[in-house]
Amino acid sequence: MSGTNNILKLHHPIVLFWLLCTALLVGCSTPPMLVRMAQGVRDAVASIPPALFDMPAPGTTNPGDAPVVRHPRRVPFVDPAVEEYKRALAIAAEKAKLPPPANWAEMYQRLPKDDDDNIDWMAALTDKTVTPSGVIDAKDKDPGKTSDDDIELSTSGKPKRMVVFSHAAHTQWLTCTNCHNAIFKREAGNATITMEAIDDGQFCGVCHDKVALAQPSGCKGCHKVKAQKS
Amino acid sequence: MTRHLRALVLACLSLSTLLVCAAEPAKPAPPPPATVLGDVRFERKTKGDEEFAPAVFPHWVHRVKYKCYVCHNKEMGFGFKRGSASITMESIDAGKHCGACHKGEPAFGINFETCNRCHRK
Repeated sequence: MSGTNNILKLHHPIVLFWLLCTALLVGCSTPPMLVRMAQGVRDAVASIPPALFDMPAPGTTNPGDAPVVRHPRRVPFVDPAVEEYKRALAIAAEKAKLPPPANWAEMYQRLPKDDDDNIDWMAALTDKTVTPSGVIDAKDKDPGKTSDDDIELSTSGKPKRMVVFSHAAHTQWLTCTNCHNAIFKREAGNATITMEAIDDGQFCGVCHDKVALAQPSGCKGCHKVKAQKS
Repeated sequence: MTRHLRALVLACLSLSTLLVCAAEPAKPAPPPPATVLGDVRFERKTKGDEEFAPAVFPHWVHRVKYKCYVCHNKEMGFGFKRGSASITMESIDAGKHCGACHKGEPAFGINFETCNRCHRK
């Protein structure tokens, strides 16, 4: 009985603790107190030494409040193919300003040469040094046909580089019937093209190394595409 | 004063260089090499009484103006293999083979003044 009476007394420790908690809860919930607490947090953050934050690199001046210059996060993408095309266009524009060649010697000098000092005919086409016609009489209709098919030549061995035949490059000079079907059948995979056969003047060897050269000269002229590891 | 003098001297120098450059005639282009890749030499099958140089076909000269299929087709009769067309002066005169173009227009005609343009050593 006496215990119950004791708790009801004001100076009992439990009652005192409960009073304190209630006072704190009420006090902290009032707006002025919340504002004061937020200020306290802000003061605490401000008191952290600035060395712990982002600082200008040693040796550079502090930009202060100057506007921040933001550089592009990625290096702008430069397409080598587009750059190559632009360069070719610039050369072609330069060539267009030249008067027509006075004689064949001058024409020969103007023709772009490869690393073996032979004429690079594809480059001559690209930079418009030559604009060969497909007909003798300009009034006639050009019988030439073009194709954009790229044909990857399958291999029996394991070469480091594959040959991808570009129809687009070849049909700038030739038309379908020049090669089909006398040299190559129209369906891919019909011919077993070997380097021996080419050296013997068959398949690619009908023209290549005789009037036509691939660039860059040597193996890499045709064996361009790196074979994928399987 | 010295600055003006220097400018004057510079102007004189550049003017003289310009004049010298302008006075020098443009160098003629060196002749193309004797044989260019693709040149076709038609060995003569029939030799006349007098020895006559065989005709040399400069592929590169023709490639400058025409694509391959202009000549390499059935109508013209030029195959890809050397000697696939039997070209004779008669066939050329009749307007076949080389004679399709070499008749004065678009290319030089065949006469005694133009023999050595093809028949050369």
